[in-house]
Amino acid sequence: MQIEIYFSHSFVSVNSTMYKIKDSSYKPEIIQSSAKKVKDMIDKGWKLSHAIKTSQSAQLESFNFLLIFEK
Amino acid sequence: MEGLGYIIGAILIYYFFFRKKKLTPKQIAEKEKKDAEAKALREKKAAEELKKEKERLKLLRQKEKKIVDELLKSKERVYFSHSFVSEKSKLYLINSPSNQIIESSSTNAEKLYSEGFRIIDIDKTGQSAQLESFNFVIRFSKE
Repeated sequence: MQIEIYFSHSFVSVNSTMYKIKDSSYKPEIIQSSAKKVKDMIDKGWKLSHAIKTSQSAQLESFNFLLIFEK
Repeated sequence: MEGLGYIIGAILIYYFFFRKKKLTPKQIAEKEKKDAEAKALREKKAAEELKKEKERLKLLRQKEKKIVDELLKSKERVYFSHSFVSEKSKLYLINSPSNQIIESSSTNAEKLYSEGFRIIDIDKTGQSAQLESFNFVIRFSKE
């Protein structure tokens, strides 16, 4: 089984944009070029197994989520 | 005349109280011997301290390895990550009695998935919304 992890600033639908994060102990950064929609992953056979809300905000535009896909 | 008296007085005070006395060759040899002995003693103590520290670290590593080996036998594992943002983020096993992460157990989700593990449960443990502080406790399981 494989795993892919993405971050979304606002995960509100399968069309929400999400990004890979460059892992660095100093300061992780969003990789802008990795932008993808949740739907793209599902179409490729990935299953969204975990969606973790990472911020406290209740505003839809700040629904920060860590999205974990498995295949 | 009075000024000359002060100068002579100052010279005498300097001569008797502040001037470094010249050592005889015997005194020099004795001083060098004492210095060498003191240096040897310092070095011996430092070496002993280093040896003790090495032994302490060795014991710690052995103890840690034993804990890690025991935890790695399980098909249910709990890992902690300071910043879980990708499948390559570092994950650590936790030493339960001390609640400290075990540095030598470092791995990542990608490796664990390749070993057949899956994330069963995941909890964000910190309040921070900053990516570098995405503290997580992650439960992995393998059938």
